[in-house]
Amino acid sequence: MTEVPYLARGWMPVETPSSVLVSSSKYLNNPALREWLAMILLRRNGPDMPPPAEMYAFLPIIESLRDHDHIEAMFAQERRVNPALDAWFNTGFISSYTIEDFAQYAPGTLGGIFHAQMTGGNYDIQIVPFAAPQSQLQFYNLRSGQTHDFEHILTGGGFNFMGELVPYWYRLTNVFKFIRDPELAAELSMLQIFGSLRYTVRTMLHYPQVWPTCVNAIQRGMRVGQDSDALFLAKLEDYFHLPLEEARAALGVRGAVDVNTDDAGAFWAERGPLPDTLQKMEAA
Amino acid sequence: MTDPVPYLARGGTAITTESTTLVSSSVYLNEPRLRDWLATAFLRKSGKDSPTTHDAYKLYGILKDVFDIERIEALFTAERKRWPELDAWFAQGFSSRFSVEDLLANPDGSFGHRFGRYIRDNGFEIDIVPRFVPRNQFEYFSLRSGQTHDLEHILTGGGFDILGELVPYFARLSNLPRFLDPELVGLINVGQVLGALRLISRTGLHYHAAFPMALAAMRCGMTVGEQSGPYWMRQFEDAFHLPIDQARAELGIVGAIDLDTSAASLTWTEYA
Repeated sequence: MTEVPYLARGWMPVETPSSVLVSSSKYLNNPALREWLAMILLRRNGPDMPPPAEMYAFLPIIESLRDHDHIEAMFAQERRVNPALDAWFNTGFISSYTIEDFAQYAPGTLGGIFHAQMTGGNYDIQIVPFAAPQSQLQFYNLRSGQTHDFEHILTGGGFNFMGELVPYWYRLTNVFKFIRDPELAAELSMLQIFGSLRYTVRTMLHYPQVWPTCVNAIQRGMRVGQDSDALFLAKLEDYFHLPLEEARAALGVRGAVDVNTDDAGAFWAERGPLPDTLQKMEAA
Repeated sequence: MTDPVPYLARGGTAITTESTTLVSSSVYLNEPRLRDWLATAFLRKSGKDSPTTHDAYKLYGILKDVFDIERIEALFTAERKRWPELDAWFAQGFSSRFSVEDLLANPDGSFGHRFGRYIRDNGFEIDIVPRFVPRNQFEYFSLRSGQTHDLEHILTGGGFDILGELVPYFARLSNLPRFLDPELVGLINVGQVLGALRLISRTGLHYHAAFPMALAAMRCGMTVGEQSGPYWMRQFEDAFHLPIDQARAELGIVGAIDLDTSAASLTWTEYA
């Protein structure tokens, strides 16, 4: 008899009467998610499918997997023990700004940096179209969309594909720090869990030259998330007028380091050449 | 005029092909078994029916058909010309031959003794990959990586549990790029990056309470990898008699802290 290799031992398959593929994981059971995940982790970048389009495909998949009643119940329970979250919901602040509103802010301020970024490129201010929130989750997601670009600036993640890792990993750390129910924290982090995987796996598989940039950005994001206050619950709009460092201090953002990852991000996206100077793998 | 295409969906233009089977510009995406493996390994729950170690075994079975061995060999050969220490490592071709008894003959508390106790107390085997005679440089690199993996747990500070795996995984992912050509790093680290990130993904999806610990383990691994010398080339076996801190110093391991991931790892059903 052939000996079973060490790492292959212990497999005890479970049978099922199901006529279609099933498992104990609702995520694995979803064929669209299986297909999407394999694609976004293994593919190369190309102009035929820009990374934002991947998230557009992902949103209805994850929406179909959400148990909204359970999420709302978790929010309600969390609000009983988490006064900061409860106050945030009770205030229910929603932005209604336009790009023109930011022209008033001086260069170098939080609002001024945002204005320069938005008027210098082809960006919409709302990456998710506005819809009046009907539930706590919808409010959470709306505010996450409204604050995402400012989280780039505050956490030190440039507006490029490697810079995207910084706010991703800031949230993956900070939300788990300030939401007491880890199941709710995970539910609120699905976009970050799935979205960030593209920038790690795909980087090593196809763009290893910028892997150090990727790791550095992850570490910077985790540090800001760990060291900072609950930025995702803050009303950033009150700090638009402040110079960036003052805005960070006022909002309790700690440990942010600004690193220019424009060239690395462009190389990753196959929109630019290999940068002349590659970031070294060293302590972030 | 407002663009009717939603912001996130803009820019995509489908490219056609004459291929009768699914193809893309990625050799990895083109392998159906890897697509299937990835979905399962990143999305499934943990259970005693299908050990996580078995997933790794299956992954390497798939990757051996994907690896561009010719390119990897050419890059290793070029690196040996650039870096004498790497050349000497290959030329010496050291391979482990120790037994559990050999390990336990080291002083109590030493690096080797601790590893011996781990093997004996759990009924494990020293060779997680069966011993073989390497036929090329990549096979030698892989053989030694298998031989030193468990030892790297101890040296980098990663516990012998599922989340402890993240420490040696991310230590290598942060250490190899400091010393080797980036293209080579990408080619030989596919298993490492997929192996590591599946643990992050599944912890986030299913074992939420352990997620912060998973991230802490990831950070510990990165820190060790960034600060240490090329420990994967060192002959760990020469330091078995030393206390762990001294062994770390001797082998050029810097920045290791012993992270206790044992309780968090129990959230993974197969280990509960």
